[in-house]
Amino acid sequence: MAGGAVRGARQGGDYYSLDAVLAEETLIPCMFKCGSRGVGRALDPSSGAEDVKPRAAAELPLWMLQALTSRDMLAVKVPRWYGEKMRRKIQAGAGVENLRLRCPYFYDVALALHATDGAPSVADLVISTFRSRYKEILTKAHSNESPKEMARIEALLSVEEAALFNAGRASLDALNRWRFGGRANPTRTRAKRRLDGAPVNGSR
Amino acid sequence: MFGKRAVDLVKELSAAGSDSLPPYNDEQVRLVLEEIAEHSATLKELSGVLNEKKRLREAELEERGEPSTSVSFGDFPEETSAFIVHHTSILRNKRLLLTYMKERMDRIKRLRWQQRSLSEDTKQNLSQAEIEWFNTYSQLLSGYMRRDTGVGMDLTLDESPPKDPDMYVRVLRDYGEVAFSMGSVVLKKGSTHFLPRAEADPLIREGVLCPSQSGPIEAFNSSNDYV
Repeated sequence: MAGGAVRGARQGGDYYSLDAVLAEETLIPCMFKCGSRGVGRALDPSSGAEDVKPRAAAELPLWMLQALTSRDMLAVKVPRWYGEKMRRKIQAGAGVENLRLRCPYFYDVALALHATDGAPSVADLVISTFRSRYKEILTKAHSNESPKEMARIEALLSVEEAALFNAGRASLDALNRWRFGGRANPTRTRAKRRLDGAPVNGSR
Repeated sequence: MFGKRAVDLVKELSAAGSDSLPPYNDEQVRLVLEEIAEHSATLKELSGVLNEKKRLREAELEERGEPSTSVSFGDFPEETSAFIVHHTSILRNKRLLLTYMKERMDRIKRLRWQQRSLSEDTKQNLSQAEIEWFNTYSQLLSGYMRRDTGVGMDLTLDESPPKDPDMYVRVLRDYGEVAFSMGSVVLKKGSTHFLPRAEADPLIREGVLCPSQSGPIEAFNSSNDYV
């Protein structure tokens, strides 16, 4: 079971990571292939029955899937944020899609699904999404927008993308700090001096 | 149910941001432990049912003279799947609790490096075990930094390597005359000095000085050209 091994390794790697833990809390639509005794109400509080019937639909958190699918007890369906409608939206323009709203851990969840036995693969969709969004994220991270605008852009990104976005901004800050000697934003005299070729850091 | 409580614990830490330490949620941890105990009780019950069913099936097969070794728990998917659900939930709860503890421990460790001691406010947010842990860790670290038992250097001084052994500082309140290694200096509110970093650091922590990015003239100039 190669998929299981990969998944195990991944879990072991960031066992204590807050984000990994929260990503695995994402609910995935599933169908029970066999019945299950006494867990009905716990899995879905709105269902009246204690037992889960065969072929019953349920939404299970990601962390529960592997144990059941590897024993062929569960069929995993494609979550709607990887569905056909999303595919069309991504083709039309991936940049404007609000991934935070659809699924905050868009890529982590896809990765985990990919490693789950018997789950549908959404790799091509996710890769094409990332490809078309990546460049835009980095360009916007280096643009000189107002903090309000930056917050608006960040709110559209998934958690993984936001990490990239913030790394991009941090790198710009670091560059500016080096260029303008200690400040993230240049003061007028300092910026001018740099262009003159005079040293900025030697203020002593 | 099924890990919801434990995930709330982790969410609490995640929402507070990595620099703050929310109060230790004793009650919630207790509830999660109770939940695990519940799962465990259900597991025991289920395993009893499963073993019983397996035994019956085996006896049935033997009566008919068929080999009984082929019976496995997989033949009773209803119970087995419930068994798996409960077992996975226990593992999940365990992971969430450990993550909660580990993340808090990391943050407390960071406090030791940044602030040296715990402020009263922070102390209130820690559990008894965490305070003990902090004290032990603090002793270990101090022992390592002492001259006779360890390296003889204060490692908490600089979190990132300093570029310069000296630094500019601005005086925030009158402090009188202080003797430094290069001579004594009168610390008067508002004045700027160029001091050795290691010696200025304790005063910065005390709130007497604050690091200033640039020298006295520079500071005067740049105050005008902030846009």
